[in-house]
Amino acid sequence: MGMVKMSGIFAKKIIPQIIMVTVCVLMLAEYFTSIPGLGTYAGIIRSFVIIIGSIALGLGAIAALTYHGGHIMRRTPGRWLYSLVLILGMLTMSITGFLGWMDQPIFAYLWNNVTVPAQQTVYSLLMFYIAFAAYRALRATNLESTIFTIVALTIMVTNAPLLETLLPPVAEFGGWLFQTPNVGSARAYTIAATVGSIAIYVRTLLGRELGMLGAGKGDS
Amino acid sequence: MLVSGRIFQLILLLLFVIFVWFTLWRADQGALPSVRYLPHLDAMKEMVDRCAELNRPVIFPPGGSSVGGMAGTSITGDHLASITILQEVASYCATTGAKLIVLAARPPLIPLYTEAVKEGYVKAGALQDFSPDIIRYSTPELYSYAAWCAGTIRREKAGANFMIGGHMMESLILASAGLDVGAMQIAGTTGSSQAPYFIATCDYVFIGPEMYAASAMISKDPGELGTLRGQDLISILIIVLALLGSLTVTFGSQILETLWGW
Repeated sequence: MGMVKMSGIFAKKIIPQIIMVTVCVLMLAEYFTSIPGLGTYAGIIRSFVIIIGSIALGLGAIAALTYHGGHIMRRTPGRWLYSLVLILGMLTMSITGFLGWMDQPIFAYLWNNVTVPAQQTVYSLLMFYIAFAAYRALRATNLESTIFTIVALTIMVTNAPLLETLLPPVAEFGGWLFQTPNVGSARAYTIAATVGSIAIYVRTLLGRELGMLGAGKGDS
Repeated sequence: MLVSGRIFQLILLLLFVIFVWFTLWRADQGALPSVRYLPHLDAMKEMVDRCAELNRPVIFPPGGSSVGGMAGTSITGDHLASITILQEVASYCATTGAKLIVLAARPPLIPLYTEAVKEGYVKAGALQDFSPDIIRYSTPELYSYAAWCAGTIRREKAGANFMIGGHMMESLILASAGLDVGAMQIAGTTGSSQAPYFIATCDYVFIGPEMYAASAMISKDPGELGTLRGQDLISILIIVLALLGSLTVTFGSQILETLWGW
């Protein structure tokens, strides 16, 4: 029993950890040094990333087929028809995609006349959502939200050509707000978030980050 | 042997490794940093309780993208932090009986989400209630993912919406859908462009690296908690370098620029 558990830990935790650390060290060595031959190995690893990503797409397809196939089989009210459309769409695009991608007329037609307009529609919806979010955000109920509202209105003046012409000092102040405090705080935000990511990657390099192996944190 | 122009970067990286390694070592010795209380963690429990009472599902869309992530394949810090939080949310759901739905966008993450949710149910002693159907997948395409998530949130009448992970343009679409159905919302992402949208539409927001701190506080893993102090040391080093850079440039010296190109 103990042996079985040990081999399970070896297969699920130790081997992936060894692979992870080896890949980390190899990629770093390839970036920082000019050791001959390292580039070839790093290139192979990059190819593996693409291959594994593609295999994972297959895994995703299986997950989607299982879930939506279940709805179709059970005729789940209000849902099975959508699931059927999804599976038919997925199969059609996969098969026609394999047969020639954009050179395949059915694939090209569906892509240009269904997928792209649908994507643009979703993206266009953002305009309404942004207006809605602005309405929610620009309510001067306390000191912070009042400052927020004033800053937002100033930036609007800066970006609206007519108001920019009518109120040059406000537009200039808005430009300063946008270029100086905004850029400074955005950079601080990005740096702080990146430092957090660096810490996770260093933990991975040191073999202490097991989250991506599906291991409980306590296991590290 | 060393590539010219990257030597200073290597030195910085080695310093970062030393900081993190040192704080990990200190954490293993029992010297854990004190972490500021985050009300979000209590709110997470309340949100799940509310869902159980109202018999509405908890939706967890971890996002379709992330800063620094290669579309569809890579796993970033955002995702790793969200996995720990997902495990905790799954545990609350298993305890209270609330229905959980995870809307995955990246196929490589499906096994990780499955494992995290399963561990959450095991932790709550309710493995019998776990089903792989909790983790749903539709597409890695960002626009389609956004539409799918918004549709699911509306159709299922979500009671709580946990948008924690790597979010980009879909953030506002998801948050607006949650608002429409009256869901309590909590969000977290390290993408600075999306934080304002979340702040405008959500009840609670993990701002930037707070997500990592929350993950460490939830997991209580000494390594993860200790690393928070390592992050502070790295931040201090970066602030010192920024100040030095500003001062040297102000006084006409290009020393840091020269060092960076070393």
